Amino acid sequence: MAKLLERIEKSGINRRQFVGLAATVGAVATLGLTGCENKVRETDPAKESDPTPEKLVGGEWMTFRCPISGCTTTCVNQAYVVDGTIIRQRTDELIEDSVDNPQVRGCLKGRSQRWYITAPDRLKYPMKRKNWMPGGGDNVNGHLRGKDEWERISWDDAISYMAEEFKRIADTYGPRAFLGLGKGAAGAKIFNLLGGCLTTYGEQTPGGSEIVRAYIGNNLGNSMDRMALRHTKLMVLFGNNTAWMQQNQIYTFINAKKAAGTKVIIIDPWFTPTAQVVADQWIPIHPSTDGALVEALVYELITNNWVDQEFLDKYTVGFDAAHMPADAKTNENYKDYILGVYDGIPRTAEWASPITGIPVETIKNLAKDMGSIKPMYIKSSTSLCRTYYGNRTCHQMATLSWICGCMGELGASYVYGSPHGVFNRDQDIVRGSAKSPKITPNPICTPPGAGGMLTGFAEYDPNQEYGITYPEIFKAVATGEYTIPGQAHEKRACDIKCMYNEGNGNAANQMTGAQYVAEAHRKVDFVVYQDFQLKSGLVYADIVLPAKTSFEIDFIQIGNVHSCLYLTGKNILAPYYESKDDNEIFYLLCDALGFGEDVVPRQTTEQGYFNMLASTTIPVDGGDPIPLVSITEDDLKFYGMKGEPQEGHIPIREYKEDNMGVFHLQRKPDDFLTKIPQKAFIADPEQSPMKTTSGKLEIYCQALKDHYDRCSYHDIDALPKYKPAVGGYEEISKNTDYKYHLINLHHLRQVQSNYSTNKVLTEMFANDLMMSNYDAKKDGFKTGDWVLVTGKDAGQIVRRLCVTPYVAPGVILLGQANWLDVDDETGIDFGGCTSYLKAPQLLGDGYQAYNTTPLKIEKYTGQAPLPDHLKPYVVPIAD
Amino acid sequence: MVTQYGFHHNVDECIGCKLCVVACKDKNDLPLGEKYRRVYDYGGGSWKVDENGVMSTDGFFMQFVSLSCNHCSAPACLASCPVGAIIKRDDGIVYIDKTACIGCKACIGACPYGAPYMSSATGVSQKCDLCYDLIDKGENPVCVQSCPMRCLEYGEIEELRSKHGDRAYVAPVTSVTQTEPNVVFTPSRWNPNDDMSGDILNPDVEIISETITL
Repeated sequence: MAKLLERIEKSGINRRQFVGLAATVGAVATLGLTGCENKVRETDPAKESDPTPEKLVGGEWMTFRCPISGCTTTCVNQAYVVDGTIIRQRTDELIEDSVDNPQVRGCLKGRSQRWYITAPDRLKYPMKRKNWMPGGGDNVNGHLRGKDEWERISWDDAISYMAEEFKRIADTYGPRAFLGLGKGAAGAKIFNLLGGCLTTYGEQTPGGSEIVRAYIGNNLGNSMDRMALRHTKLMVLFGNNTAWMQQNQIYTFINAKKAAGTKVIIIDPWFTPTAQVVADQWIPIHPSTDGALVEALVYELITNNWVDQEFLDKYTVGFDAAHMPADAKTNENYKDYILGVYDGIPRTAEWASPITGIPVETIKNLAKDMGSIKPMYIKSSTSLCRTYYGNRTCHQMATLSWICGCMGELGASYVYGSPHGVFNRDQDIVRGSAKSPKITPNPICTPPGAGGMLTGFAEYDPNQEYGITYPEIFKAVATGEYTIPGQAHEKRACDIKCMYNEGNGNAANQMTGAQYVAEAHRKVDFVVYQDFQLKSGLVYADIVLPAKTSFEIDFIQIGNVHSCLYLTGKNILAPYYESKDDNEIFYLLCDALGFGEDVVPRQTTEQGYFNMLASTTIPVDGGDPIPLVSITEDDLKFYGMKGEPQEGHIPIREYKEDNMGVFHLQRKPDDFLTKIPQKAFIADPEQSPMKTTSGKLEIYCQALKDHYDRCSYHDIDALPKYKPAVGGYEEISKNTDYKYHLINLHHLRQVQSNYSTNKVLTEMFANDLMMSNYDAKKDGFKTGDWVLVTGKDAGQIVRRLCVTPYVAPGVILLGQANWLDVDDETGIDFGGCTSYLKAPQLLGDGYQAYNTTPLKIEKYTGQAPLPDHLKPYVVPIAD
Repeated sequence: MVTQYGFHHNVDECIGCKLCVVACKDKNDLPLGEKYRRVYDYGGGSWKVDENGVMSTDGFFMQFVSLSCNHCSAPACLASCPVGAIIKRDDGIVYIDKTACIGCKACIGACPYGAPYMSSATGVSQKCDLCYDLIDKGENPVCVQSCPMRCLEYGEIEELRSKHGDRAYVAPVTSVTQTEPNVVFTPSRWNPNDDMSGDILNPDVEIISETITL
């Protein structure tokens, strides 16, 4: 029998080539740093060369929070810190590991922080671009952005450059010349004090589903906790890769499956790691055609009498002619639509099979399972909503679940999306609120609804300035105009002179239309970025401000997914070189611009988090929630915080010091927190109606259609009708050039655009472009080829290819959010950023159709870039 | 008294997240490129698409296999070492005494599982020592302790075999009985008959241990 290593050689791996690559890199690296001023040590995984395990002495274990807010999971992570340096990590060893209350173990991203948080590409000092001078015009040398060098400056100089330039631009051009690059209303706080700025809005994660959800009556409350999940007998998942997205949840899901004997069916073009460990059946499907499958399933349910008619009659409107809502402007009902009464096309399995690529018998068997196995849990991923007609997906899936009567019983639910609908979210079990000083509102621009969500659009006001929609941000800056809400796509002029990113997100990397990033940044007078790393947009900055991370400030982390967990911690590292936290920087700017405490009350980050901890409560069986911590006058003195003494579950010092700031709420099977979603509505729909026009669940939703007609960028129907997507399967399968369908993965090695430069993570996962072995054979590609990938009407990237059986024909998988690395001459992105492959599209409430991106793929004949783990760190300035 | 420690890996519940690899790198301060444990993405099968675009798979399977040192009862590495730098403890753990290793690479050629490798950072051969320093203190090896799926287990090999059977191979790991490996695998339900017609899908860096200098 062949030895393993021989098998490896046989599989095409060339060890010598590998060494050759490594050798060429050595000369490029520009690292090295000694004599740090504050005991924080730069750590470089390529230089950690003492493999002898040393004894853990002279330091202490401390709980930390990963420096990224975009992660949908909360885990216990701890670091052993000696002399200001993390020398070892561990995860949850604070409670005994059990099936009911498992340790909340961190993922490999958390586990590799010691090689990341103090890596050579961390920003250390305020910097100014050498050829930028204030005053606008020729002083700016904007064309050099991204190519220029930086020079180290003092904080005083950085703040005064900003204060003076902000004042000049406000006085000369007015507030519409400012663009706050923070997501949604965050904008940039300092601009609000200077008269305002344009901000941005739209959707990333939820795609086109948010506004739909709000109108049809499905809400986040549908999510089941992990004990309720133990009652589910059938689970049907459309998409969803929980194993990668909410890693510490997949284990509790497996346990629930074992407890209930749940049958799990996963529908996905990709055989996900989740399918690998939980699925009893995997049904591959053409991407963006899930709506057609839903319609065929409903046809089968109707024609086989598997419909829960009682549920539909009592709780929904629009299913049949007898139950139309009062506000309906057409007579079309869903049942007749499915049966083909209106267009002569019954939505049979035979009709759906060529669209979805699923055999007829498979569709019929799936319908039979869904019609007969109860209670059922249907879950659809938001990735389905990040498509051209993703605005329809959540309505289609919800309708399917209602037709099956999938609500009101322990173990029955429909949940869209992630993280809101993960398997076992224990919602609202522990909560707190930050009593932060009010931020001055933006006088000239208000994005519609909190966090960029368009729920506020219900009262759409055409005279209101809503700002620039996400896909258009950089195109708008570059071309000087943007599109205001409405299907007429009316334009409005903008002349942006200054962009400021306070460190809230990495818009330049993550928004579709990334082809305009360089042009936009080079056009303006002044670009300021504040972050802890040299991210995609930051390379174009005139002033760079180094920010602290959660390792250098106090923090609180509430279990986002695993809400039974509540973490509080202190800064575990000293400030990294000259970095400051975002509040400090804001207050420095306020000082420089003359906004005193009367206008902007100052509060330290520590006090903000202390307030949040004090207000956090935990649930009590049969009583009101009680505060998590007791606080005495002595505690207030001990922590140097302002506040009032209070009684709580655990003394604050025991919690913070003895328990290392980690609180696990213990659960038992079928305890008082075990939840039946929508229980009140099911018990009495008159007394506890849905927040919809009819008070019921709306299969026919006129208000949604009216909303779209009033102020959305494209179209929708009142009934959840399937429509072939622009850039979807029907289009791609007929195109001879753009014949591949890109699915953007949330790759396990990254959290959005974070960790892209973590060498250990890039060593673990190459994040190659995954192509089906069916296509590779047909089109002559092989593993290891470097390919030139062209997005339709968009940019080009170069990426290495991996041929695999686990993805359906015609589908390409690539982990999203690799950092842009655009070659100015060719315009090709050698970083492999998926946003660069997608042209700006105007959809719904400003959402982005990342997952309907047609690609052309050809062999790349130029000099191949280095794999990510071999790329030298980009270090902004030598010390 | 433990006479022989070993590993159990439940391939059926492994999500291939490589946390075991990263936790091990952390514990052992391994530089870029070096790893004591490796996770193989192993898959096979093909697709058919009919004239209507309807898809079906043929012989499809996909599995993740986490492999480190099997702490063999008849370790080939130990037998090949000319200077006696490889030691088998009373509890069966096989480790390399780095101070005695002369870097001759004999063990690397001898091991059928690719466990030892040459570290150019230290100039000696290295491999998993089952975290015997932690085991001696009553703690778990870090790969086991970090596993989010609880699909890696260690313990007295006879106990593991009585719990999980005595299957010491799973594709792409072939059974090499001469070394008497102390490892037990639970196969994936997608590949119960151990179809070996697939491919290792990972790029080389993910599965080959070699010091990388940037």
